[in-house]
Amino acid sequence: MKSISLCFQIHHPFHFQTFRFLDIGTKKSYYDDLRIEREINEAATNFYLPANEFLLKLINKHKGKLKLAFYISGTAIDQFLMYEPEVLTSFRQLADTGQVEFLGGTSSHSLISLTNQKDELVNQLKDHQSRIAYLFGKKPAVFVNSDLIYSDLIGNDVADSGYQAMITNGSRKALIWRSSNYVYSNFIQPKMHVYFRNEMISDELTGILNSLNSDVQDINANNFTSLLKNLNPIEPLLNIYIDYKALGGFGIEKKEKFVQSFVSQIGRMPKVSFVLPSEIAEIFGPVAEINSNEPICWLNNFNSYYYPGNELQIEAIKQLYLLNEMVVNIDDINLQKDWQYLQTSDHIHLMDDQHPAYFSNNISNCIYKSKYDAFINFMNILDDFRLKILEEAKSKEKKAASSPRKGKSRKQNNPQHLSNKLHTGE
Amino acid sequence: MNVLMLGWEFPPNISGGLGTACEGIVKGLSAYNDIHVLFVVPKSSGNESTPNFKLIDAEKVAKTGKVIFTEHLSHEFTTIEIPSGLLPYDSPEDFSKLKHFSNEITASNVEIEQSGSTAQTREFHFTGKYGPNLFEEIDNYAAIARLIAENSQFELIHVHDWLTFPAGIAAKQVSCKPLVAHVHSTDFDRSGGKVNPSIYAVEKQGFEQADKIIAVSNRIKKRLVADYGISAEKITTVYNAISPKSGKDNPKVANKFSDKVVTFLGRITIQKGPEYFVEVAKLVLQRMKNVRFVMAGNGELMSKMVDLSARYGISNKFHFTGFLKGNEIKEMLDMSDVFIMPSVSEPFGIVPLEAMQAKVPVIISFQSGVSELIRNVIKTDFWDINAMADAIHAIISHNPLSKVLADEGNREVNQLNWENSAGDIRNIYLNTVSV
Repeated sequence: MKSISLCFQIHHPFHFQTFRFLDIGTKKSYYDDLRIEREINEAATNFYLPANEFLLKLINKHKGKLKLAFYISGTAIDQFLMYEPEVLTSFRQLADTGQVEFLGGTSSHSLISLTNQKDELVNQLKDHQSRIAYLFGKKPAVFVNSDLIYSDLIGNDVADSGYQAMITNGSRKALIWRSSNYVYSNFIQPKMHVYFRNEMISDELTGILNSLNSDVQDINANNFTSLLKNLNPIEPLLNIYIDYKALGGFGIEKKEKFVQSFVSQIGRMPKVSFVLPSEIAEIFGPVAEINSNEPICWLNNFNSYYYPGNELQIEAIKQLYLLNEMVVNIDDINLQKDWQYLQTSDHIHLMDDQHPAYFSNNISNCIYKSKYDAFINFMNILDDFRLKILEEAKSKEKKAASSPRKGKSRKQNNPQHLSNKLHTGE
Repeated sequence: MNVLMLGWEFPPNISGGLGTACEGIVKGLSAYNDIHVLFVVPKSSGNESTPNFKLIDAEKVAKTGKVIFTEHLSHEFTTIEIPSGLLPYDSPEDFSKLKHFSNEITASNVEIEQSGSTAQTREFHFTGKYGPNLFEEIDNYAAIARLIAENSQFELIHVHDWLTFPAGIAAKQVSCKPLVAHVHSTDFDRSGGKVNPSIYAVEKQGFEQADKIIAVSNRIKKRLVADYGISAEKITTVYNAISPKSGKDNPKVANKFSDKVVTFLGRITIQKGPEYFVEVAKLVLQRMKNVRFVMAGNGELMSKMVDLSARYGISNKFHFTGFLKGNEIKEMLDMSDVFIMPSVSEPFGIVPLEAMQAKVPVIISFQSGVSELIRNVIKTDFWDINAMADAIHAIISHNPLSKVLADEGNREVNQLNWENSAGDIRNIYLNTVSV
């Protein structure tokens, strides 16, 4: 018996606009709203809405056999709410079939798991979990970190926030000689189960779907299912995790045809079935502990040991999360949102020479010409944001001082304490 | 293969990057045993002599009318100096005016053993007549080149920029040998768009007469195709390089200010975009106190820049050094925390490479040839003063950024060498001669 778990990722960051140091303190927005809106409209119209409609039909047609999972990042959810709410409605329709489940993540596809700020990590996981529960009617049971980042410590922290399973990339670095097609357990907390994305099959599937963009290509699903047949029949599990965009765009009819014939062939294969990530734990137990000191991840165009990143990226992440304890006491909803959006990993990826946006043959909307531009822009925004939260803390302090009763602060630190820290601690 | 190379300046007596580039090319070529270079350079002072090459007294050449190609020098190269008032970057209008300026440089930095004052060294001894007109000088230079070409053996002529083109063409006519034109800049770059038609004509004729053209960047190559109507097939881009820093590291000159130092280093002419540097300084100083700006170099826009910085009220933080040479350049770079080259139109631009060697973070304009070659610098448009101000602020404020730029920039520049560029040039020689 072989179980196939089919997961799709949907993620859109809040792209920044050019933010000069002269813009610091001018209340200029951080975001390239036009680009964000254009990209999410395009993705919704040409990718997600038609793909959802197609999958809904397919699920109904296969009557309980086809099962799927989605990871939708917090920033993508926000953008759907702002610009394309009907996408969420159509995902809800998928959820209502009972054949589709939604995975948990961080609140904004953030890099919080790379820090030792566990409280914030737990907050972010709970935040995303409750949003998914609210939107799709069921609390996510399996966690997907931003860029599928995983390490022993991260697995441990995620376990402490209530999840019992997470998906990461089947990187050779962590697996070494082992197969990705089993369930493993976290090295520190064995009750935390780790599922590995099958790199080869997932990339192969993405490659086939992308090749259907062109007019000439016409691959039938036989090729792919023969690839599946060749897998070791003893291995019980196959985790496919790909970008949902692969299912839409140019050549969408061909893609749909391919997926349709792929699903029906699987349906005809004896002892092969689709499984939801949350069901994996009920069927299989872990075969061994997995040891991963260093973080592994899944990033298109980059290797799986990308993090902690280069010097610029390490500095940017460090400076970003130094702000966390100042933000804790901020109630302002806009500042809270900014704080979330600043953490999205895409901003950090751009601080790398090898990012595809910097290769001239790539048509890109990226405002940066180099990793240096990306770093400078990010740090300017961070400076501005720091200034804003300082002001906010001060005004809170004033309010607290003027009111006869001590101001009731949301979290542990009182404002007096916080503002002292801001003046000296930086 | 013997190559007759016609240049016009040679270190240490240079007024720009061209002499440095010529030195690099000639030294790079000396790594190849089958290439022998006879380098003819307009006379400047007499202190170019190093153990590596030999100077031939140009006056003797002119009087006896004889030059013998010195084969026994094997792969070393020979330099012939011809006294002349030629200055590489001047238009005829500026020529008489600026003669004074360049003499001043010579006088203050060079000891002259030859007869009399510096003014005399700039006379044209061949004709006994000092050309009041730059084009007359060029014709004189062509006459000497013809004389040399008639009396030496070589397989190929290699010329550098427009002042040497008539000389190259003359040498080609008497020798019937192929001509390679090396383009380090065009009049479009030097004039900031106000092209002198006479210079343009000389340039165009040179490009057309040349059998092959070497451009120092794709930027120049495009220019030759678009503005001079030259066929792209004839042009090959060979980037300049930089000689490795001499073995022992002199102690770094300490920055005497507690402030950070941002340096512009180059001729203060329209081509280099000095006014953008002043504008950027104004922007940065509005927000930052711990920074000073240094404009190092000389040029016709210098007094304008002094006025501008005074008008903006930033004179206390904005300094001028005048012309810097040799070790002074190194000292200036050592003192710098940021080097910036906001050139409006820079065919190549070798100073950023020197700054990278000195581990100084570099900002350059996209409108420079060198930006095609290097990655670990911050690139902006020359007119984008906000982006430049931003880059300066970031480098000064974020140590890791400054460190990454310095380290990775240094690593990148250390991988460049003249042997590679000279190897490309050698291939062009071989292809040209075989055709």
